[in-house]
Amino acid sequence: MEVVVQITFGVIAVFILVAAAMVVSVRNVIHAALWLIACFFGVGALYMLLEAEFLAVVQVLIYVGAVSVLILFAIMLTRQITGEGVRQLTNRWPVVLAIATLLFATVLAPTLINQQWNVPPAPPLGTPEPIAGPAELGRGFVNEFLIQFQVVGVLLTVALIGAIVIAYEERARRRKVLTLAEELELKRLREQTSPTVPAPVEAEPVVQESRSASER
Amino acid sequence: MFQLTDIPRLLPEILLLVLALLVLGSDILERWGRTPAAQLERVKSSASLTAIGLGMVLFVALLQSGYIYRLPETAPVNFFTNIIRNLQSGGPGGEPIAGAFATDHLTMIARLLIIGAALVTSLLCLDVRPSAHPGEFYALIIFSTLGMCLMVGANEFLLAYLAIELTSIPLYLLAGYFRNDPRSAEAGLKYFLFGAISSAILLYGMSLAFGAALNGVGSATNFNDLTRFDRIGTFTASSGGLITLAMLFIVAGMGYKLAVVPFHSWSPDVYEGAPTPITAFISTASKAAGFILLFRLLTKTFPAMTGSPTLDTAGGWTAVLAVLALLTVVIGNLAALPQTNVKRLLAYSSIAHAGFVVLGLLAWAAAQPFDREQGLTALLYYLFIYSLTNLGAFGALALIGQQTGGDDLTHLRGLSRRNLPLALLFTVCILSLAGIPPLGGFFAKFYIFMVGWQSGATWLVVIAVVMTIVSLYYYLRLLKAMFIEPATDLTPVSLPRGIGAALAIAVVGVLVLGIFPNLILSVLERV
Repeated sequence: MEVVVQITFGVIAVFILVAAAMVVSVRNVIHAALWLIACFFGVGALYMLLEAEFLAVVQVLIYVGAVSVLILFAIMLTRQITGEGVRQLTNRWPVVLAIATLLFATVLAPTLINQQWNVPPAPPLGTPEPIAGPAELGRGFVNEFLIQFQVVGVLLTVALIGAIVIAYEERARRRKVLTLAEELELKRLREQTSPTVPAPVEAEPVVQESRSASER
Repeated sequence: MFQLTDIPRLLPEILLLVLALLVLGSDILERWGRTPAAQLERVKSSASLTAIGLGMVLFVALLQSGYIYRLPETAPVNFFTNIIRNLQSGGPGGEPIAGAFATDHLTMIARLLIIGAALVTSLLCLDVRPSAHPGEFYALIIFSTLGMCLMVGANEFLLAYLAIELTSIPLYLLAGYFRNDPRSAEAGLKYFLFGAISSAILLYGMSLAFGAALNGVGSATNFNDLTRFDRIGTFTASSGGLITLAMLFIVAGMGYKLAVVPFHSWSPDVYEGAPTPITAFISTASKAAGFILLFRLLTKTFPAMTGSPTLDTAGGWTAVLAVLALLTVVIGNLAALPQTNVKRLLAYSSIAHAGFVVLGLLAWAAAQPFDREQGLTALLYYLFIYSLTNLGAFGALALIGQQTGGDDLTHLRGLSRRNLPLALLFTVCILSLAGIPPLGGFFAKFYIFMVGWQSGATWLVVIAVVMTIVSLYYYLRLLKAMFIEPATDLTPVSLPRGIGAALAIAVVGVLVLGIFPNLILSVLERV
């Protein structure tokens, strides 16, 4: 049983690491987002392995379901980075890799390997897990971790406000949202007129919109 | 376990939350006109609500702390005394709330410092205003203050991390708030990226410490309280490399937040790009909160690996801090010398000041309990004076930047002929930063050096004193620009009321606390 668990863990861990590496190395941003979803799935599987079924389900529902859709939407609505041409790595990545490996090999790995990871023995059958079940989790939220729970609420509110502040523009400055066909048309036009110098992307629609707003 | 009677002990935090929501909500009810006059009206109403509200929260916190007025036991029972009695029963003292939030004197004093700094910042923001989303701008300042108040009382990893995030996220947004200015946008993005990475480092350290503690517990059944600082300290006393690694990661993560060398590279750019009142806020309140959290983390979580400030025994967090303090004091001061932008210059100067505060943290590890108490008192006194001074200096700079169109040294030229009172107020702040008697900055530095010397970190004190003399050069350069160099432009600079009040608070505080330090030391010694 031990061996099976360890092999499963190894497979999942390798899967997560590969997926995470792909997230930061593939050129297409949408592919990166898809790899991120795979990575989230792997983490969900890890939770399952740790017998935290509730967390695993929540992980799949929220991260794989909601967060990744949000990321994909954000990518699709951000005009400039949908293309293939985004480079995520600089030319010096081998140097960085070497430094990181060196640090990991000299400091982290020896400490972590020499540590005797004393995993507490499993409780007898029938006793509830300390915090894995939803009922225990809920009780923890309103008892021991009440302050933290409330602070998370405030934190999420702040993040929401921040997102609105960044994304929301006053009406006069707002850019007209174009359909995909219009975007492509605009892009084609721009390439025709100035093939060498990339035109300022934002300029044209903004000017048009603000002019029409002031005319109104 | 959280109890209803704990609510009064969290009163300042709850009031801050209510105030933030009030500012957000009242902005919706304002008239959202398109004309500049209507927009100005909307900004002004949010700004004044914030300033007044923070003033009231500060008043309640002062009353609750009982440092200025303590209700005598024999007071008659009536409506007003009952209010005060109930307030003060939630004052400093008692066990941490639910094991997570300590409400001791340290928290109370730090809360007063932070809410005070937020109040001065909001006074500055009365005159340096955002162009869009005013309600959110002022609410974010209050949310950040709330985060700092939680940070100084945090007694548990989870709350500490959440409080850091609650502090940082509004500050990232505020630093990049003036989006029409590319500098500000750059500052916001840079601050966010560095902050995210430092949070990751900090979290890694915390998880390592948690793992080490779990290791020490063995087969205990309930380990839900294992994230508390003192519990981790108990269970990791005998574990070796892992907890050292955790300590290093935590110090590095906090070091990024505090901008000590070698984790400082973000701070000059962010300080330069952010709106100046926000720079004042970042460089004072968030730094003070960070130092107090670092103090709690080091002394409660890692008491077994303290080491000694004389460094006769190698290892321990004192050795790490000594290296950080040395680098910070030397590089911070030397890098400030060639700066031509005043905001960058003050940014490096505040890096250097962080080095002096680390020296105060070192003194806490001294062998004698007397030296330890002195170390903490000196540290708090330094944080108070430094916050007041820096708020004043950045406040004056905000006004100069707004009215002369830039914050290079050339913009300071001839300020004494353009507005003498402003130049004098700015001068007091700069002289206090430089540590000229009889201002507060002198006594704060003297006190830190004294406790550092007594605790045995003599070589570090010597270097710090030498670097203080070096720092005189760049501080005096500011004065030279203001008083001696000829003005290129003689249009007078006006001094609006909000910034004037903030500067007056700062300068009076620096002067009074410098001449009569006992006024505040008697309170600080209760920690």
